[in-house]
Order: sequence, then C-alpha cells, then structure tokens
Amino acid sequence: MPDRPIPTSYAHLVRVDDGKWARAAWLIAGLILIVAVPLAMGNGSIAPEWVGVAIQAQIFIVGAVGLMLLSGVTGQLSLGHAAFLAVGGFAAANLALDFGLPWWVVLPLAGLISALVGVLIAPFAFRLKGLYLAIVTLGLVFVIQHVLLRWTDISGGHRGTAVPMFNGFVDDPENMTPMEKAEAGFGREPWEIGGVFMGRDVQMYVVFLLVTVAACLFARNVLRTRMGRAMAAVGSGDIAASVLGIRVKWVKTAAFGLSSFYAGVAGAMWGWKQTYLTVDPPFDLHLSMEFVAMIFIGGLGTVMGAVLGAILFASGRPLAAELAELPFLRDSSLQEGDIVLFVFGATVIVFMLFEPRGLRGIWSRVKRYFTTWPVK
Amino acid sequence: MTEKLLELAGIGLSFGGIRALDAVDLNLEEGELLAIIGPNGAGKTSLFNIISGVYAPSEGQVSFRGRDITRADSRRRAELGLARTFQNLELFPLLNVVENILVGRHRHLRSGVLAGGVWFGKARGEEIRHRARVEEIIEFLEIEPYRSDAVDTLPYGIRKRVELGRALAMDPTVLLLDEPVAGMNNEETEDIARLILDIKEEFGIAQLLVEHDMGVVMDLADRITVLDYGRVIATGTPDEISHDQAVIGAYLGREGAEK
Ligand SMILES: Nc1ncnc2c1ncn2[C@@H]1O[C@H](COP(=O)(O)OP(=O)(O)OP(=O)(O)O)[C@@H](O)[C@H]1O
Ligand SMILES: [Mg+2]
Repeated sequence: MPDRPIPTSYAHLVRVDDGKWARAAWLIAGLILIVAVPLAMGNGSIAPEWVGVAIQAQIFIVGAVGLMLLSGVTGQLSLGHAAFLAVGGFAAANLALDFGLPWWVVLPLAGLISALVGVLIAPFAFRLKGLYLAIVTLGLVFVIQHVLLRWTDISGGHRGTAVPMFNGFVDDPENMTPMEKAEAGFGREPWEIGGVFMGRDVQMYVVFLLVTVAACLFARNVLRTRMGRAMAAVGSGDIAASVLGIRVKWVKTAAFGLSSFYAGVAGAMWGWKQTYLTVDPPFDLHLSMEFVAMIFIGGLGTVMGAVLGAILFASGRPLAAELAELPFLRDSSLQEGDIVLFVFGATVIVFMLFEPRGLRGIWSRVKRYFTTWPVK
Repeated sequence: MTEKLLELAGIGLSFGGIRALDAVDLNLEEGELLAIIGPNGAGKTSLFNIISGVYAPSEGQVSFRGRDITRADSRRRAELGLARTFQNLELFPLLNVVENILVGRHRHLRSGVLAGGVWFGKARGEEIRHRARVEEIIEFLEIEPYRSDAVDTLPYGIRKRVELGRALAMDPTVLLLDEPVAGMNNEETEDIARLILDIKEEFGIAQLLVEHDMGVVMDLADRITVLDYGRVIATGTPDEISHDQAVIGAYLGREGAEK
C-alpha cells in the first residue's frame, strides 16, 4: 500500500525543500544572514575579528563543497585540494595585476583555470584508487608549490604578491600608483544603511555570502540530477557504474574539474580576504588535510555536511585559541597551533567513533525530530 | 536462420590456473527466458561478467544481434540494451531508492554538470519526465512505501527489488539476473518469480536467469543451460533437463562428494 496520496504530477516530487515550513525557515535564515548580520557587523555588535571568521568560513565552505563533490561523492580521495586553491589564488592576483579585470570577471576565470589543472590531473584517477590516488594528489601539492615559487612572475616568489580586487575594468594596471590601485579597489566606499556604515570587510561578507549560496545551490542541483547521481555511482565502484551505462572516466574528469573549479574560486576569495598571498603558508599539505577533515566531520556526501564542517573549522580555530588562554594550558609548553591541531584531531576521532555520518547525521536527526514532532 | 539476440561462441576464461569457463556456447532469442544453472563455482557469474563486459574472455566471441561486441566495454553494452543485477547487491549507498533507480535512466538522460547545476530549464524538465517512468517501475515492483528511503536501511528483499528496478529503468533488451531470489523466503520468492514472468510477458524483455532455486527455474524458464566446472553439459527445455543423465550425475555426484 502506498503511504501517501497517489501523485498526479511529478513536479512536486523533484523539489529540494520539505514543504512550506522548511521553506519559511530557510527564508528567515537567509534574511538574517544577509540583512541582520551585516548590520550587526556594521555597528560593531559583531566584533571585527568574527567578521574575519565569517569570511574565512565562507571560503572554507566553497572549498569544502568542492572537495565533497570529488572525495565525498565521487569517492576520489584527494590530498591535493590546497594546490587547486593556490592556482585559483595566484590566477586571481595575475588576472587583476596584468589585465586589470574586475573581481566579478576574475572569480569565474580563477575557477576555470584551476578546473583546467584539475581536468589534467583526472587521468591519474582512471587507474589509481584510494590511497594511491591520495598519494599522487599529495605530490601535486608539492609540485604546484615548487612551480609557483620558481615562477616568480606569477607568484612573487617567497615574497608573495598583492591580490587586487578591482570593482571595474582598469586600464594599464601595471603602471598604476598604489594610491590609484586602492581607489579602484573593492570596498573603498562604505555602504550606509539607516545610519549604519559598512566597510570593506562587511561588504566582502555580503558578496561572499552570495557566492557561497550560489556555490551550495549549484552543488545541490548537480547532486540531484544526472551527473551527480553518476558521481555517486562511481563513488561506490567503477563496475556497477559502467554496467549502468555511465562513462566512468568522463565522470571522474568532470568531478575533478568541478571540484577544482570550487577550489579555484575559494583560492581567489582567500587572496582578496588577505589582499596579499604567499605560496606557503597557506597552501600546503596541512590545508589539504584540513579540508579532508572538514568533509569527514561534516559527513561525507552531502552539501550540508560540507557546510557544517567548514563552519566548524573556521570558528574552531579562534575558539581553540581562546581555549589556549585557559590557565593550565597557558602555562604548559604547548603552542597555540598544537592545541588547535589536538582539538581537531580529537574531534575527528570522536566523530569516527560515535557519529560516522558526521554533523550532517546529527542535523538530520534534529530535522526528523521536528518534522515528526509531536509524534516522538 | 534467424539472427540471435545474444550469442556466445567458444567462450573461455582463465584466472591464473583456474579454468572458470571453457568453450561455452550459448544463445538467447528475442523475448526468451533462458536459465543458467550449475553447482557453486561452476562459472555462472563469470559468464555474466563476460556478457556485461566486466571481464574480457581469454577466447571466444560475444555477439549482440549479429554484431561482434567482444571488445566493447560495459558502457557500450549498456547503450545497446544489456542490463544486469549483481549476486551481491551493488546499490549506491549515497542515493535513496528513487535516485538509485534513476541511475538506471542515465543513458536516456542528457543534462551535464552545467545544466544540472543550473537546474531550471533542461534538467528540471528531464528530471520530471524520467521521474514519471521511475514511478511506474516503483509501482510495478510494489515498493512505493520505500521510495525516499536510504537503501542501506532497507530489508534485503526490498534491496533486491530496487536493484531489479534500476536494471529495468534502463529499458533493456536483455536482462541478466544473478540469483534474484537468493536468501528470500517462500512468499518473497513467489513475488519475484511473478515479476520475472511479467517482465517477460508484458515487457517482452529477454532474460538470462542464474538461480539455484530449482522450483523457480523449472517454472519460469523456456530453456535451461547447465554449467559444470566451466563447461556446458546440457541445454534444453526444463523437461529435457530434469531427465538428463549428465545433469543428474553432476548434481548428485557433487552432493555425494560433499557428504
Ligand atoms: N575475480 C576472480 N579471480 C579469481 N578467480 C575467480 C574470480 N571470479 C571467479 N573466480 C573463480 O572462477 C570460478 C567460477 O566462479 P563464479 O563466481 O563464476 O561461479 P558461480 O557459478 O557464479 O558460483 P556461485 O553459484 O557460488 O555464485 C570459481 O572457481 C571462482 O573461484
Ligand atoms: Mg555466482
């Protein structure tokens, strides 16, 4: 016996949300994030340091969603994610410095350049599985670091390079004075709403919020359509997937391309946040591992998992830093970085033991509680 | 002579020293249900793997409607209309029931990453159309209550149906079923047997059925091929096979040896 009414049209079955209450909840959350939060940031209710955390979280979300598509869904474990962020970050720097392109043109281009590198790496995944692929992608981090450091025209070598974020097209960016560059830059003019002034960081939060939401929705849509299902199929094994008519190599290539597109966009965002980039830090193996940990803690295979994991990591660092101020830890010989690492390591282990489905698992239990309430 | 739907000629397959298949000839006609039986390790699953392009045979030829497909990969064969289920379920744990079956529609859908990510337009229309087809299959298999469930929460028998649904969603010409009623109780077995018969009679899909349950095989099969140690020892109607001395010998001999 069917447990619900016989559908007369299938349009409602393919919708993302769970009905009008869920939609209302998302709408309210969206309004808070894009109206209330920026105002609170502007008038100082949210400390500047937490504005930085929010922006870092947005960057992590875009990056983590990208890795989730490749490793969490398509099952291609990559330790090379930091390399793709680096490509995107330095692509963004050079597209602005050499061609004077505005940020909204640079953003997709940085993604595309990184995606191109991803597509070139994809053939390694045709043969190599699991840890072998992980090792090759690990090597990629060192190769990209090496190439970038040597290619000083692009990266500025060990000194690094400025990453301008121009509002519009700029003529002859190479002969601009620093003053002129600053004038053409993003966030120069404060926004004013109802007497509240919002500077560069708050504006960046708003713009990045739109980018992040678009990135999440796009990923969500990919996952509920043909290619996303094919990626999930490949993720559980090449044989069953190809017997069902899926071009496994093409799906892996697409997954690498898509994932590194996200990483490239995240790298560009990273550059703009910092205004200045060096190769290492931040684009090292440690960053790759952090992204892997994010999607693990968040719960493999879902956009929501990647988002939750990324938020946890972005806010975990300052929280752990405050932990380091506790008397018994402050007096110990532990560095702040050690404590951060320890906390994250312990969190990963706890999740593996008690909640293998990650934060996403907890989330769906909470959701089930409310949708079935008051039944249970 | 009419053109055979699926024809295997002189198929051999070795794993190191093991001769899994040896000089196997087999053909399947349009709309026919051919059962393949044989003791454990006789090479039945290996034969399926060769037909679906998972293994390449060491010798011999596979043809589909007169066309040599021995070198074609699995994906190409799926495109030609070959579908199969697996002895040890191969469902996709990240996907729910509907999504698993939708994977079977893969070759009938067109949207790529970009169209899918944008959703509105091409992808949405396509999803709705094919969702309708999937709902028909869900109804046919009587698994409506499970449509949005995660597959790893389902009872074994339901999982088997979902996998069958996924293969049916391909709209195949030939369906290979590897032990579809293994591990099921009598009632479930009868349900699946009825579905297999419907697939043959209503949809006209030719089927190769590997099954140890002799009741099911005798009831459903038009013809039976018996494998033993990788060789075909008999082919014929259920009636002929049940009186074949070589077959009786192979089964009794093996069982006798085990006791
Ligand atoms: N990938 C493989 N590598 C090595 N040997 C294999 C492989 N696949 C099958 N074999 C061997 O080939 C022979 C045939 O195996 P197959 O799985 O085809 O038998 P089967 O008839 O399907 O048996 P069952 O009824 O138990 O499913 C067995 O001896 C098996 O051990
Ligand atoms: Mg078998």
